[in-house]
Amino acid sequence: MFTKRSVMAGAMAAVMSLPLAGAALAQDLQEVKIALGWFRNGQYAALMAADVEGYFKDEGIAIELLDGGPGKNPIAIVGVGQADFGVVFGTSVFRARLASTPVDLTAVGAMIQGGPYAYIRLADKGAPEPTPKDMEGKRIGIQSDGEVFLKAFAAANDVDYDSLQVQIVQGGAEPLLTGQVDYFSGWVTNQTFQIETETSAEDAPDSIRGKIWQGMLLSDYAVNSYGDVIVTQTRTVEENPELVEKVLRAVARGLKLAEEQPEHVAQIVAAYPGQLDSEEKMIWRMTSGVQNGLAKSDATREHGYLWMEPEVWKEYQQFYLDTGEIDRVMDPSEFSTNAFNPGIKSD
Amino acid sequence: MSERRGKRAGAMGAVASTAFKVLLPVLSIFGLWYLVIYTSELPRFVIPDPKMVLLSLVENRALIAEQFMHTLKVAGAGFLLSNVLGIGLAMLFVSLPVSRNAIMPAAITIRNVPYVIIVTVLALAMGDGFATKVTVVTLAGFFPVLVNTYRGLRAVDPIVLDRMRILDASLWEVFVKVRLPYSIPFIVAAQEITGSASIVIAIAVEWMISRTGLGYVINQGMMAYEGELVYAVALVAAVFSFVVYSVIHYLGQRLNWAESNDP
Amino acid sequence: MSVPVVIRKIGRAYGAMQALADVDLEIGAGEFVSFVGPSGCGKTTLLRIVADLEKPTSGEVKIGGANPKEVRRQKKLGLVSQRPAVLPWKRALDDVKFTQKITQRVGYPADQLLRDFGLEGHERKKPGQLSGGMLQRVNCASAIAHDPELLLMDEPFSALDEMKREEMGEWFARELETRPRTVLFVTHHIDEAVLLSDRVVVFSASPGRVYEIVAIGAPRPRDRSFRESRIFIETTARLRKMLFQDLEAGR
Repeated sequence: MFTKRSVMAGAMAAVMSLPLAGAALAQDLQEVKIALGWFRNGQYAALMAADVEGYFKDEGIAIELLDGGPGKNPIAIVGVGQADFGVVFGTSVFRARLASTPVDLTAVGAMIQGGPYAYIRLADKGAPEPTPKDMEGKRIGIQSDGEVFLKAFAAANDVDYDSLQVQIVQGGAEPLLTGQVDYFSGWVTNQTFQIETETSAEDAPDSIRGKIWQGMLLSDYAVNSYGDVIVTQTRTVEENPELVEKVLRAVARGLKLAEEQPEHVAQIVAAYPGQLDSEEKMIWRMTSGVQNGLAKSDATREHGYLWMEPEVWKEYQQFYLDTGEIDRVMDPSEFSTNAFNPGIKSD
Repeated sequence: MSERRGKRAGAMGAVASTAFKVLLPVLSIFGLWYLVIYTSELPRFVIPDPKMVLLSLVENRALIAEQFMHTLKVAGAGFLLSNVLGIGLAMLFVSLPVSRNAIMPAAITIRNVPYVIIVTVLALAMGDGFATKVTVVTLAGFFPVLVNTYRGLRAVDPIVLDRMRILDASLWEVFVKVRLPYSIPFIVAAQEITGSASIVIAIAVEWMISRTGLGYVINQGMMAYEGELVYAVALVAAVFSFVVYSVIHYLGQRLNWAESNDP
Repeated sequence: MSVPVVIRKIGRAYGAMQALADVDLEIGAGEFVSFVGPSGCGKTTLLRIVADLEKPTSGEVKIGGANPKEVRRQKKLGLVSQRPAVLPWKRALDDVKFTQKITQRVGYPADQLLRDFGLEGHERKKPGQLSGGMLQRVNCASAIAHDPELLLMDEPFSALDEMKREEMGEWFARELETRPRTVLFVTHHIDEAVLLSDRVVVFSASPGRVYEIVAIGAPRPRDRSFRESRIFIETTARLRKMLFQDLEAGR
């Protein structure tokens, strides 16, 4: 897809050779489109930092980030060739491959090593960390697709599921903040900022003022998973391996930079065109350690950023098989590869 | 003298009554809003203070105005195309009845497909640009125009058609001078539906797939936990829909032979 | 200008239902002929066949030697319908002019026509602002505004009150004196038929056939005193007997 486009673009540039032809073409960079799973925000800091710092350019690449959103599915966007790479939730990789009309994509790296999905509660400062048993008898707010996770979480931790008062809620943290629920399923990289903002606001209600959030990650307590997985068409892996290597190297360098210079990355990402997080939130995101912590694991320390352990994929699929969401599993080597991992290790 | 004074008083009365008509809904909306805030005791991040919303509207006026223009273009183009498609198909159905059998099932199917699905499919087929958004607004809006226009074109009293035949009027004359005017009240009624729907759907499509327009501003507000901004967009969209509805309604009354009896 | 009408062996069936059978009539140029008969006798159907609004199942109609279609294409037909065929958005005067615009024939000045029909002062009103009787008079005016040579009238005055009905009848009688034309007139009113017609054709029903043709041998112009004349009283009595006794008994 992109090779054809770049040939065409090259031909056009040759014919036109005008300033209009665009910076990317003028410098003879290969144009690569990356479809994000959501609107560009600090979650994708590594990509934007790598872009700003010229890591992609070093590889001869000019990236264009395509925003996700409520109506966008990066799996399909990569599948039809509107983008060369996609950044998706780990589950969707094998589900896309196992679907009745499969999309032939391959996972080439995971920016988030453990899913940020967690059960979050409000607590007083200095309160002891929560345990799964604490949830018994409490009101739990989950999103409409969250029941399987909660059941698995309960089963893995000997929690009496029947004692939980489950409510279906929207993605925002409002139900927790209004006291409608005691626990709430959200991402520790996202809604927690909303909680911190509201609990520290000057006009915060007494019931939440000064409180802190505590969370139990699903990946710690029940099932391991990967988030922000980089996918591309299997054809690209086969026909254009150098490109995959180049993109992953730039991304891994971005992740490394975020770990080493979080304040600097917060600032350049906050100023990135079209990026939606406020500077305040970016600084929180990068310096609180939440996001960088998720990017690292034993595997990244041993092999490098973005590494994906086949064992994790197996466990991950098994969970979906056990809950009846999929009817068979694939060998991880069929839909994922570490062949292009650049080996940039985390601390 | 006294007559003139009477006229002036009448004019002032009219202005006062118009002002009242505009003010009353505004007052009732804000009144209800405050009532909900004080009775429900919901925190500000769930239901923001109208003051804050208006403040947000003022603060973000450049952003909202700019994005509003994007929405306006999408809604406007979609609205026009809805009419071209709806009226065009209705004319085709009336002049070539077999075409109705061929096309109507497809039209009904498209109408019954939730537009969120149309958005998803079109975005993958055609990208997330202007053409996709306009197409969705058109596909979601043409059906009322088609059905109403078709009904209107066929609402002609058969006795009038007898008259036209006796007078040996051409098909074109029958169409332009009889069928079309007969269908105007029906077409106008459809505009009131399609006009507001175009705006709502344009915003919804922008919300789903676009980086421009009021729909995207909603996403921005949600991402930044700025409830006021979301409400401000809702306010702008509601006022705009209301204005569009009113303009269509006013024009409709002027065009509508069934409603205007002025000598 | 007026034309003779020859109706030969006309039959009309709707599926198994025979509406008209073997109707033969010869109507002279400038003659005024009324069709009366019980409902369902096919008199309106016959009128519509002459008007080329329907095709007969058998037989043929010749108007001045030509087919109804040809005559219609020459814009020589006028039809006064039972219900007003006016356009709801047109003012009375514009509706009359509309006929003239479509046919490109101006038989009468439109405003004069409306005055003659007693609509002075109402010329600029739309149908919604006119009474039923006024509307029917606008309908008549619009139907003859292009001065058709053959005028077909389908119970044209049935919506009018007695007084207006008489006035309209008189207007037509006068109008026909100055500009003679052939008229086929479907009515339920025996008085009206006798007053206006040269001949009255009585139809029997199921299927519609010509039962009898009654000539009204009275000179024109016929003024109001004609209603008290022996011919009028005797003829109406005879027609009444035919319609309400003979034909009812025959059923």
